[in-house]
Amino acid sequence: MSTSSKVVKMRRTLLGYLPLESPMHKFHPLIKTFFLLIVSAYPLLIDPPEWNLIGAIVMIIIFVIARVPLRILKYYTAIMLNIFWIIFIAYTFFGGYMPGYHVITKIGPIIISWENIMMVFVIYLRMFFAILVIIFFLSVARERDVIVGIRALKLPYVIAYTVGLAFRSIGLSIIDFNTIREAEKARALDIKALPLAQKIKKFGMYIVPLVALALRRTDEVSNALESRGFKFTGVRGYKRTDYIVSKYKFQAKDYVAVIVMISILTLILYLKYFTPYMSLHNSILLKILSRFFEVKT
Amino acid sequence: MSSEKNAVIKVENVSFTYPDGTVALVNVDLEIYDREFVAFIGQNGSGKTTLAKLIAGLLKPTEGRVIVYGMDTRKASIHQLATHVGYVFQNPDHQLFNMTVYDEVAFGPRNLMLPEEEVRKRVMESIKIVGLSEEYLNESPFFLPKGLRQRVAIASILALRPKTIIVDEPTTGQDFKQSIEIMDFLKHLNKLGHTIIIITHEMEIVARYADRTVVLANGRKILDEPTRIAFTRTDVLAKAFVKPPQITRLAQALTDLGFRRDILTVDEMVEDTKRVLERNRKYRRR
Amino acid sequence: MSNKPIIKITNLWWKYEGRKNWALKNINLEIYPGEFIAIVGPNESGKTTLAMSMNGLIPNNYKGFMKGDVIVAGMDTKKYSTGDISKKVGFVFSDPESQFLTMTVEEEIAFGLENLGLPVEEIEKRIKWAMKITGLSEEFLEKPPYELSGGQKQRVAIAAVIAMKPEVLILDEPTSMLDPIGKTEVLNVLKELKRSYNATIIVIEHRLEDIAPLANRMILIYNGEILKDAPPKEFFDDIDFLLKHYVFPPEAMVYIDKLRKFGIYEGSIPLTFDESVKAVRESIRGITK
Repeated sequence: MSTSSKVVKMRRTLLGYLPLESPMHKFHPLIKTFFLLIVSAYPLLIDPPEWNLIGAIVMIIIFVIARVPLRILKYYTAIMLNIFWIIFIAYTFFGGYMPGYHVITKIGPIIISWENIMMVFVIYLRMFFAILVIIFFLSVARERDVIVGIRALKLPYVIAYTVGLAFRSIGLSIIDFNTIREAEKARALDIKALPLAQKIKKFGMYIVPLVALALRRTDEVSNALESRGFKFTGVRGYKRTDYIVSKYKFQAKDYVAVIVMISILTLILYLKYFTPYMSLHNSILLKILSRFFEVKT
Repeated sequence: MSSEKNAVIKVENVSFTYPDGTVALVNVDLEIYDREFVAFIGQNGSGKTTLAKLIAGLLKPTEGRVIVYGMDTRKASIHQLATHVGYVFQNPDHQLFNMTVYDEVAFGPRNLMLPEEEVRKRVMESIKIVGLSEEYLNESPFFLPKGLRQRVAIASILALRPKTIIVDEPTTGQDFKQSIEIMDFLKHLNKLGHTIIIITHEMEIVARYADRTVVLANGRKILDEPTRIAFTRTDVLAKAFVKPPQITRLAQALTDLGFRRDILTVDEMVEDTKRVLERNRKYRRR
Repeated sequence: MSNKPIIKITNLWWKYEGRKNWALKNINLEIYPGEFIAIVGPNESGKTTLAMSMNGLIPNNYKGFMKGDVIVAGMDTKKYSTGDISKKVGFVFSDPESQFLTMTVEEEIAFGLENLGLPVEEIEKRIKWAMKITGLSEEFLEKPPYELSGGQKQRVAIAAVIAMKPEVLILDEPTSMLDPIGKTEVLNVLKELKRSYNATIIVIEHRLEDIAPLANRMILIYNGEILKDAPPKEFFDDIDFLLKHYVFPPEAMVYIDKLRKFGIYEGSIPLTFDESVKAVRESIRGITK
């Protein structure tokens, strides 16, 4: 239908589209899963906000290298901002008070302390880094990558199968959901005009057709499974071939990627537990900020 | 088209692009007249469902405007739209949300905030039109056979008393007998004064029931003619990968014998055969 | 065609649990290797039930009451599981959506082959072969279901089944949910299968225009019983009988049958469109000569 000829060939991922020439396609699917598991641990271990900020910047560079369309990030800026305000309000006003805190000011019974403001920065930047890691994973991984990842780890096939079928039914349910919403509109349901309580109540109505559709499909899906010789593992003398995984080979660059990820993890653990560099007391950013709030630490 | 006819729906230079960038319709103009029976045909992805949803106000045009019963669909409220143009979805399971048939049919009128006695009146009226017995009122629509679920879905739309009713693929997955039943019923609604639009892939159904046929291909309207004429435009139909009904094609393959090109049904073909035979006899005698 | 049936059904009765009526009543049927069979009849008449009793889904996966025997490729369906029977009998369902089980075409076609435990090289060979027969090019391998049209999904479903090289292939209304392009695509696959794949093919269909010329045997099921079982020529010879049982033959056949009643046409009802054109032309010329 489209007439333009300069279309970049894209491949659909869990969250959006990734160009076919993205270097991420050259890695073994398992690498993507490892990335999610290992790199998302970094922010959890890192306390000083500037380190997490560096991590976040590095992530954005990785986004660019991997050719993930950056407009994906745009969709999440609103969410990121909201998270900031929630954390900011929660910690500054309702963070509690402990003896020894540096009081900045008092608003009625609420004490605003330096320690709580510091926590806003620590926690927010930690989440910022972590969310970028998750968005990256969802932007580069396809359902198939996840399944191949699970299979390559030699987990029981039933897990891969369940996850796969879950992906499939979520996909179908999203299509159903949109149709149901239109069908309700066609029946004069003006959900926007309703008060919140009514809105929530009417939302429950989506469940009826979604369940009905899923139930009717379950029968057909299980028939289709059986008719193609599927048996749950554990049946004697039943051995599946794993053709899909056999198509992927772990190559030198995959090993390098894993080694790099694990080395960084080890380095962070070493710095955190055996050196003082990763403690909050040595955070340069916090020192600058404390001067801004005129707190003597 | 004569200008005295009352256009109840006007699609004016409408284009539509889905949020993911798929261009579904390009510069479509269309008028639907009061009490017409119109068929939208074309392959999946040709834009026929999008066009129907734009008319029902379920989608709003990206460019151009859609006027239904004098209202711009972009400005009209959901209540106004639903009470003028009804849309019956292909799969009944997408449109049955309630625990009983009664609540299902009452759902629309209740959304209009009508008093309960009026709601009841409309429920009884609607199930009567679709020929659903009162004993089903307390049953769950989920457990009814598919044919009956489709009737409940239509009754639920009728309860809003829309003047135009759009039905998406009414005969898909139905057998011959069921198809005739549902189509005869839509014809009945048409005679009662409703304007009917169907989306379908079945050309025999189009030939038997639709006064006018609109053909879409690649998001564009490529043909809009009375059905009898539409099926003679085989060159244009071919662009939409549509073939006329078999009996029409048979007549068209035999035009050298004097058959008409615009036969729509077997009965018409039989009539025409008598004419052809008569004519050929005269010709020979001379 | 050999003399030994690949499917032998003797005195089969089946009733779904919780239903009053028998879905199948005293079915006796022998199907021979290499046959192309079309099963027709109105909805709810027992077509799908009969098909499912030929691959073991009935009685293995449905609750109900069964009398009689079904022997498929030497296996009694009461004694073998659907999974075992699936090695010999492939089944394609009507809904292209719910039988697509995985997230890419390649996984989908490989699924059954992995279940068979075949070696990797053999799987690769068979995927290529099945895709060729169903007219799917290499670029489809990585595609997810939501990027395919209905006809393409249905071709993938057929590829996934024939890759398992079953001796019998059953297709339950494979085109009923598709648009005309999709219908044509699937029909072309059926033609190709008939030409190049040496298997018994059983198709359940409503629309007879395209299937009639392919089949060498037609079976009419009505109300759980086999009412007619004949080669197409004979099957379509009594048009009134078919109409009475809500089977709608192609329009050209109905028309030619009327010509025959008026004495304008003599002979059997032609099966293909081209034959119909020829038959009408010759009889009208004959009369006016």
